[in-house]
Amino acid sequence: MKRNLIIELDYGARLAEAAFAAASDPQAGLDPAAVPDIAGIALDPSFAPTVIPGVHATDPTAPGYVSGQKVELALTEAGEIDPNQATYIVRATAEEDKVEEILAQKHVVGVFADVEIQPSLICPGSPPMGDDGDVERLLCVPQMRRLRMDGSGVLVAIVDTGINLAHLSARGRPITLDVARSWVPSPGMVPGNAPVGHGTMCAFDAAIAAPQATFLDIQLLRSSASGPTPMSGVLSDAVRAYSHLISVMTAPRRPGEARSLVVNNSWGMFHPSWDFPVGHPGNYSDNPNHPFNRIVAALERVGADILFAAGNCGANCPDGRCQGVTANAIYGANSHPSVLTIAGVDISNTRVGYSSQGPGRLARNKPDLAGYTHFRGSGVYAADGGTSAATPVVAGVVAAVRSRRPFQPGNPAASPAAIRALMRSTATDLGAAGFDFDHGFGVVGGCALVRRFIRVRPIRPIDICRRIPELCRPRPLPIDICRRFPEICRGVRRPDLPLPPPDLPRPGPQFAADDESLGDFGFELGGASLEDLLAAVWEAGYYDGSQVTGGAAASRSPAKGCGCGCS
Amino acid sequence: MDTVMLQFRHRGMAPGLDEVAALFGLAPGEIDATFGVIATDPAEGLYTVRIDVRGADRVRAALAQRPADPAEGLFANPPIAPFGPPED
Repeated sequence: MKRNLIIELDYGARLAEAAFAAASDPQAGLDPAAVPDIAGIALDPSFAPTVIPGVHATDPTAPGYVSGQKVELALTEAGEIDPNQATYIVRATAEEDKVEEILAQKHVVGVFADVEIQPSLICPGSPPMGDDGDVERLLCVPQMRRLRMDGSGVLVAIVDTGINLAHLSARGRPITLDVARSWVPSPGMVPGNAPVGHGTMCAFDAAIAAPQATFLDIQLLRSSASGPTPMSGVLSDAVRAYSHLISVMTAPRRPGEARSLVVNNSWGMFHPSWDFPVGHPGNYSDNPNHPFNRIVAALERVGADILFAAGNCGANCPDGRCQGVTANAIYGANSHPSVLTIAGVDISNTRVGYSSQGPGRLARNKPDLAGYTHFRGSGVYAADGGTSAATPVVAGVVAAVRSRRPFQPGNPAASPAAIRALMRSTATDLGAAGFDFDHGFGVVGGCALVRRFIRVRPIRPIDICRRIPELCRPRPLPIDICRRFPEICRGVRRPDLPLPPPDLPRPGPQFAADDESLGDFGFELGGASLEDLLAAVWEAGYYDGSQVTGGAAASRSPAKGCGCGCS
Repeated sequence: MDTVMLQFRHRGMAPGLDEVAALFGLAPGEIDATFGVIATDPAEGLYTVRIDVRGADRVRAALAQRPADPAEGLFANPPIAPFGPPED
C-alpha cells in the first residue's frame, strides 16, 4: 500500500540552495534535479524542500549559557543557519513495505509518516464530521429503544421555521405530527408542510433519539413580522407561541393522553445591538422580567422541559452575525435558569469553535451541557451544524427519558427541574473537571441514562428442580448395605455365621426384569424390588466365595443342581 | 411598524384590547390586535400586548401613575434568528 512520507535528507549543495531559496518563496515547488537519487520513492513536486536546522548540545561552561537549555541551533559564525549541519525534508509517496530499503540508502536521514491532519476545531464552513448514525451510536440509541426510551407518549415542540414531513420521510426518519396542537403565526400556513429548512433539520435531529415522539410544528420563525433575515422573526411572536404551548399543557387531559412536553429552541438573538441596552428596564438579554423570560418560566412551571441553543458566538470562530461579540454571548431566555442551555461538540467530543461560551446573562452557569453537532444528517445542509443541531439532539434524549419518566403534576421526581438535574448528572464530563463554561457539565450521556433506567432486580436463587426436574424426582432409598449386612462393614470374615435371612423376592405387579436371566438363582422374581435382587445377588456371591476359600458352607445354598461348581 | 411589548399586572380575568387601550391611553390602532392580550405569567397576573412605539410616551405616563413594579413597562421586541447553520 502506498503511503505519504516525509523524507529527511542530509546536506547536498543543490538541495540546500533550493531549500533556502524556497523559504522566502511561497510559490516555490521542487526541482527533482536538486534531490539525490532515492530509489523507490515518487517525489511530490508541489512540496518545496524545507530546511530543518541542525542542533547540537549546549556547553554549560560557555559564556551566555542559558540554564536548562540543552540544545542550540547549529549556526554559522555569521549567526545564520548552518546549511552543512541542517537537514532537508521532501514529500514523497512510496510502498509501505519499502520504507526500510529507503531508509538504508545514502543521504537518507529519516523516513516519517505524513499523516492527514484536520483543523483542531470545527468552524463555520467546515465539512461535516460523521453522520447521524454516529450520533445514534454515541447516544446508545439502540439500548434506549430496548428500554422503551424512544419518545413514545411525549410531545416534542420544534419552535422554528417549520417542519417538512415529506423530506423527513424521504431521509428515513418519518415522524408523527400533531397538526391540531401545532401552531402557525399566520393564516394559510400548514403545519408539516413548511419549506425544507432549519426547522426540518431540527426535527430530524430530535428524531434520532425520539423516533416515536409526537411532534408539534411551531412555526415561529415564519412570522410575518420583519427580522434581519428572511427566516427570522421578532421576540413577541415567541411570546405568542409560548402562550399556545401553555394552553397545550394546561388543556383538560383525555384519559391516557400524553402530557410530557419537550420544547426545542434553536434560535435566539445574535447581537446585543438588537436589544435595549443592559440596564434599561425594557432590556431582554439580562432582564428576568422581560415578557418572554417570564413566559418561559411560566411554561416550565406547568411542566414543560425547555431547551435553548447556547448560540454560535464562540470565541474561536464565531458566526459572522455575532459581529465579533463573543463574551457573555448567551443572552436572555437562552441563559434562563429554567431551561437547559446546549453547547455543541463534534462526534469526537471536541467543542465546535463557534459554540457560545458562558457565563450566561440570566443564570451564570451556562451552558448546562453539550450535544453533538456538525454531522451529516438531515440533508438540509451539508452538515447539521450550529448549536441549532446540538439542541434537538439533546431534546430527543430528553423526550426519550420522558417516555420512562412522564411529567406528573406534583411529583418532584418528574418535574422539569429533576429532569435537568438528571441530564446534568449523567453528562460525560469534558474539558476542565466538573462544570466549565465551554461544555457545561459535559456532553449528553445517553449511555449513562440507559444505565440509570435499567431496572435493578434482586437475583433469584436458581431453582435447580425447575431447571433440571430429573434430579428432583422421587427415588428409591439407597441401600444401606452396612445396616442390612453389618458383617461386611465390620471387616470380620465370619463365613460360619449364619447369614441374615434374605428377604425373598416377592412377586409384584411392578417388576419388569427378565425372569429367565435371574432364574438361575432359583428365586421367584416376578415382583422383586431392586434391593431384593441386590441382596440375592450378594448372597449368591457370598456363597460362591465361601466355596472357593473352603470356608464353611453358607447357611443356605442355591437350591439348584446345576453343574456350575456347586456340589 | 416598530413595536415594543407592554407588560402590566391585572387582577381577575384577562382584559380586552379596549380595556388595555383605556388603561394606558392608547388609540385602538396602536395595539396589535393579531397579537392580542397574552398572559405571560398567569400566576402573577402579568399580561402583555404588542404596541406601536408611537404610543410609548403615553404608556410611560400611565405607568408613572401606578406603583413601581419592575415587571411592568415597555420591553424590547428584538429580532431573533435560527442558530444555524453557522455563517463565516
